Amino acid sequence: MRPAEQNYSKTRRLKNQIKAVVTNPYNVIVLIAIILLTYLIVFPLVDMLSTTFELSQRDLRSVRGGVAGEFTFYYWQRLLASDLTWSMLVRPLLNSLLVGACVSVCAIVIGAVLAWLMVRSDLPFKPFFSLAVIIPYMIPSWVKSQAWLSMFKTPRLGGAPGFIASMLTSMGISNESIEAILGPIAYGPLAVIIVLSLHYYAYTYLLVSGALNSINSELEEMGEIQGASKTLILRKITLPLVLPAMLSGVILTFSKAIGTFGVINYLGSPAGFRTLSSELYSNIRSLNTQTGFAMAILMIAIASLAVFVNQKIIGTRRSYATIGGKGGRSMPIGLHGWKPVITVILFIFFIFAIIMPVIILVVESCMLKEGTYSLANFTLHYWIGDGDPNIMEGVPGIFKNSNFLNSLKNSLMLTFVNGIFGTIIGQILGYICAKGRGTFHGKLVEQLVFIPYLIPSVAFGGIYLSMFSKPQTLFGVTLLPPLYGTFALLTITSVVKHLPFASRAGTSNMLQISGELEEAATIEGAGFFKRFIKIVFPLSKGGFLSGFMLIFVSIMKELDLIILLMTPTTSTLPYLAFQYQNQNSPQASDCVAIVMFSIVFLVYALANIFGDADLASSMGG
Amino acid sequence: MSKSKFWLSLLLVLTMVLSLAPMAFADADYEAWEEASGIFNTEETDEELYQQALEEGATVTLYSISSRCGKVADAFMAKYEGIECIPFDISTNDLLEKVTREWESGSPTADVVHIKDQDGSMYIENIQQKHMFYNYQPADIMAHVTDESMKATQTPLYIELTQLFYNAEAYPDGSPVTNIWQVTEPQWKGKIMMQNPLDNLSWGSWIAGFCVGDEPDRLAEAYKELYGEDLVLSDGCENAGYEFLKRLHDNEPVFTSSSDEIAESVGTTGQSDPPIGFCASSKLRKNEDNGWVLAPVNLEPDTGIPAANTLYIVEGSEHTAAAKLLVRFMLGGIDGDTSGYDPFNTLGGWPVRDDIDAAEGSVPYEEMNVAGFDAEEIYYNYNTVRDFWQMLG
Repeated sequence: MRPAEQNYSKTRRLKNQIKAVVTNPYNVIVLIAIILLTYLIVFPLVDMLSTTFELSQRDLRSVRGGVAGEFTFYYWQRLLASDLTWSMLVRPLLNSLLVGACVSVCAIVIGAVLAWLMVRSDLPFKPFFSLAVIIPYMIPSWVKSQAWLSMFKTPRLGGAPGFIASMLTSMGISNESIEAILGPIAYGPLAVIIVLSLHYYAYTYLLVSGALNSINSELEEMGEIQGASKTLILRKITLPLVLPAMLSGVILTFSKAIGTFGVINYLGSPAGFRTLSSELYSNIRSLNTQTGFAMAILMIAIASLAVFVNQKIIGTRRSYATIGGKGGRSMPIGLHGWKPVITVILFIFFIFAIIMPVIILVVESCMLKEGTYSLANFTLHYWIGDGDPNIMEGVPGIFKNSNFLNSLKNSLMLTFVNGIFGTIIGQILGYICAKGRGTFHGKLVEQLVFIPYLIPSVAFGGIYLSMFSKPQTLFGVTLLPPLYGTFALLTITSVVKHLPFASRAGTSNMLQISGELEEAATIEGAGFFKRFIKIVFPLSKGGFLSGFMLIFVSIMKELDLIILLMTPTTSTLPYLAFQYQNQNSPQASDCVAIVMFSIVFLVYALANIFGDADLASSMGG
Repeated sequence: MSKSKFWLSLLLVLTMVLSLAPMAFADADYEAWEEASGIFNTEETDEELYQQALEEGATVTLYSISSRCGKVADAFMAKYEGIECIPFDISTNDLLEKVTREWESGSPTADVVHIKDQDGSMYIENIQQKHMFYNYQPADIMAHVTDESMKATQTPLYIELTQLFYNAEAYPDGSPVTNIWQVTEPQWKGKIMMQNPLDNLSWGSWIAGFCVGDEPDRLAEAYKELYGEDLVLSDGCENAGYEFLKRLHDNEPVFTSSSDEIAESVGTTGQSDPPIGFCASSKLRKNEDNGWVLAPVNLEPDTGIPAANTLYIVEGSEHTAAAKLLVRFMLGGIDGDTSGYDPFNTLGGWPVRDDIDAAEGSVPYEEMNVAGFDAEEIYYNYNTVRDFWQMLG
């Protein structure tokens, strides 16, 4: 009878286990989260993968005797083992890896050094610097490439030359010499790497300064008491403590850099420099969806590999980041004789890397004709002018343009609604990741949530478009009507795509709330929801605001992700700027970009002053 | 059962269940719609359609690849009071993506689509295979389109070309290039602007056009005329078309993301050594606005395939009367009021109707050197030519 008895107890154990799992509100939330994440992240990924094995109607003309929708290796074979492999996959891939690696290294160095200076040193003008250092994160990278071209464009490309080229021309230097001097700087891998590094160092800066903030400076002081030199302290104490944050920075930067398209398009293509993301974009644009998705999957695989390697490197060290908890106090480290030198270098860096692009934008937005540097050419037409049939086919200045006002309204609505939804969901997921750290479900949620980060934005938008343009049904019950063209679809897409950030901010926020507080409440008999509302939520308000800012900033400048989801009435500011750019009205495009930047900057400054929001703290942990 | 296995199996089950969620297929009842909408009735008058349009909802949505659609919509609403016309200016690929997805979901937003059928896929896929688009060819108006090949597979609105442009200020004596083979000469290395044919369908079709029909023969002939010797084909080049593409590619053209950018690069004044560039003929009309000095070249043997702008009505549209009215209006109407067509009748665009004159200053279409266009030839060779270009690097 023993086996039967064992069976009985086994089922009962299982039953009890299930009961315990189901009745605990925490588990219910985890369950709901996993169901939703599976539906919104794993399912689209599977869908994308299966698409690459289905023969499309368009390619029937190339596959003799094929049937649309049937299983095929056609696309993978073409990509991995055909005459096209070198030009379609290998060469662009090598370029992607080159860009990814170089940008990561540069961005990490710039970001980490800046973070150390801002957090640990006695640098003067810190409030100014720490605000300025975030600005590159607020300007879309394609706007930066425009600024780059306004500076360096050479006569070979025709049109109005860049500022430096026109100076060289007026000095009597020939076009050939200008091309020889400026060409390699203006376009190609070098330009791409510089512009992207100046864009992405913000990630490392935010992560590392978050980590530095949480290190108790006593650790460093102890080293000093023991007689260690400054470099030794930096090498043996500080660096190991922030290493996990730096490696996280590498992952974020690397995956973004290989997935980016805009900068490559503007600065790479004049030199024939193409990466995997430009091939992906080309294929999606030419309606070769299957090939495009196959490329996207390869990119996801590469990024996943990077994450895997990263985890192997950090390994057990991961726990370092929280050892010190919140530093009790922090003594700035004297820069002594280096102070003026570093300050001057920083000022120069800020002027060229941060202030300059903004100024170029503002100046260009006020020029009637591009590239004509004379006083008579300055105008506010693109800002407040009435429609003039001779300029931009009569489109009035942006503040008198109903298109602009509509886009402004949409953008504000999208960013606020998504910011709020995204942050709430991010905090809940962060709670699961933080409380479930080390458990399987915690890891599962953490991994699931990271996936959207690895999917290129264009592909992500495409998948959601096809997924939600049909009604969503389960066993014949309609769960959701078709969402195509609705604001809801824009919201779902943006929220899910930004989950990695939102939940990251949530996790670091939740990690700062000691479990003991909740345990004390549990002993007093408080239920899960009471604990969450009375303890966790109030304590996490500051982090909530920071998380909100993080999402707000990224959604405000989002273009690739939602470009396919736009309808006549749901245009947003980045889309408008992009359209103006394509209609060859860079001035109007600049105006829109400046408005975008101003909104982001204003909201950030307000949140910073009144709400204690700090982008840095939301990325740390 | 360990906890981790529990969650893992849950994940797997969920994935499976969700993958099973049935997918809705695009409605196959196009015949019912054909019946209900009266799409094949081409005899209605403007007045009848106006009355029906007011009754059926008094609204119509136009997806257009031209920024001029806003002007058309305004003119339409001014003429047909009470009907709202919502224009949406959107690029070709986005338009197709959107209209297809919307149509597949069973609720098309667009009633009328203004696009080009450069690669033949509108006709072969969207009309013949999917029944998503319909040609509405009003009898009274189409009687004025005398070229039968022009209206066999499409409802033409106006014709555009991909032309070579040069800077008239830098070359006051005329174009430095007159024969298409000259752009493959070393002096133009890195100085020819165009868009990357890999990036979009219209440029992909344009390069395909050189490799099909009698075009390769015309290219070979033009080569002999220019250099006095026979063209020698390189390895892997099937005909003169492929050879031209290979040499063009070897000359390192500069790829930009829009036609406007090309027009600006070539046409800006004050350049000592400006590039030349292929771009849409319609950019010529922006010359005056922007102070450009763009000048088109009537290339030998020709400038490639023409691109007819076409109009379609989308299957499933619930505003067919308004849609038909809009199509008639855009085609130039029948009552002499051409306000719907006027925005398109500009330099660099040629009308297809025998009773509408081309814009002032246009070279008559008959005098232009243009390759023949056969929707099926292009469609079935498109992939081969695109792969060829991709393989060039």
